[in-house]
Amino acid sequence: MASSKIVTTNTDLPRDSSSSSSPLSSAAATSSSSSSYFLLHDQNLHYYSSSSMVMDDLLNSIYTTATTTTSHPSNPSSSPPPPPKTVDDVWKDMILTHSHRDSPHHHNHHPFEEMTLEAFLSKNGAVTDDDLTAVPSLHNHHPVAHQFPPVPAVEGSSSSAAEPFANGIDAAVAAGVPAPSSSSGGGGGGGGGGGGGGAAAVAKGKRRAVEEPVDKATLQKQRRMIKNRESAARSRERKQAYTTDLESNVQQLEIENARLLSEEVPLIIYILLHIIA
Amino acid sequence: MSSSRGRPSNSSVDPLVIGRVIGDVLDPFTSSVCMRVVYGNNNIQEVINCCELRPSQIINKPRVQVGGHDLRTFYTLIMVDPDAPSPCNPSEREYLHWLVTNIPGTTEANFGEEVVAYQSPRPTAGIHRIVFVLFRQSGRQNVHVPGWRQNFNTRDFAEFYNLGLPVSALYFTSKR
Repeated sequence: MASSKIVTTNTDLPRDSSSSSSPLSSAAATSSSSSSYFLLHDQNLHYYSSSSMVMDDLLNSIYTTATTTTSHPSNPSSSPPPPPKTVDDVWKDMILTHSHRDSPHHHNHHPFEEMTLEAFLSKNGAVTDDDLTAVPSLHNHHPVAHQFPPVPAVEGSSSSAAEPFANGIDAAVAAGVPAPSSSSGGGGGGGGGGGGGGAAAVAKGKRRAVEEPVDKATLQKQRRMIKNRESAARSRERKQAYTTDLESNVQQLEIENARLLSEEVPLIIYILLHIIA
Repeated sequence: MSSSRGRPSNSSVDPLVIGRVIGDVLDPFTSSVCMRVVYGNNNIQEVINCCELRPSQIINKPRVQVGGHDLRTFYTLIMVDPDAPSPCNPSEREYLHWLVTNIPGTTEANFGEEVVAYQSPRPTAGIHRIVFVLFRQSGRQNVHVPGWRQNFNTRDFAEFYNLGLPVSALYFTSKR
């Protein structure tokens, strides 16, 4: 689905290089999921979602990967020359670079994002490998939460522009972790606390003095939220159990009442007949 | 009048399943014997599943009427609180409030042997479920008195004394 949409827009791009606005608008009209797929898998792009600069980067990266597979763009805002290749060649190049990068980091499907982010940052020398080795321990224990904890650790030494991203991830941990664990009782509380603790431990490794009070507060907030969800679920269960029991009781009583009433009338007649006669 | 009146339990609408009594305390079973639990003398409160009773209403032991057909069949009644000391932290699950054995069929619990005396539930935190479970005994039994009330396990008790699956169960809720 993503591939077909990108292909249709790519047909515009190589042929019509002079008018830059219309291919951009048509590319922007494609689904955001397909654009984000390429956004995150291309090593040349920044990892911020939904900015207008992103679409430029996306299209420029399509051009640059068509020409050279591992080069960085010198100036992302400049319009590159049209590649002499066809759409299929561009697509093949992207598949090659993607699969080449994918094979050493083959984890399960969904955490693609932070695996290639780690690869990207480690390739560009932003993060050393010993930072990365601290991360996989989280993967084993909390498969739900591990999408988020590695990112703050990896991002720790990057520029200040990445800071809001890391804070956003902390909030996402708070939001994301309790959601899957809402229905399971004690296990959910343990898993949510563990996931929050894991995120806190990882974040603590990078920023110590500033983040600790925030982590404790978020931890407690998470625990509070999980407990609240559990008790809300329990009270919904209680309500439902009570009403179903009431309904079944009402049904039984109605049947018994009907039976008794049906027996009552002949009984009265019998008594009257005996009194009269 | 109570729902534990000899109807086979339909798991999708069974209050015992919805309220997680089946799961936390008991295994799935089919109700085969009537049981009626009534608190109070002047202010009568019949227990139906998941009804709420105040601690003041449950100070004294209730009247438990056991169904069945035969005076020679004996039943065991267990009353536990699976949410002790609090529902979000049930470290004392299950807290044993009452244990009566050798109840003759068609009679009441006060005709049986009170192995563990009735202790009125006094929830301190949260809303607790209090469960009554009735088992059919294969014959008269001598039951060893449990050493303490906390962390009682109804399943293990039933297995140890060969009681099988419950024949009836009922629960109410109570809070401070």
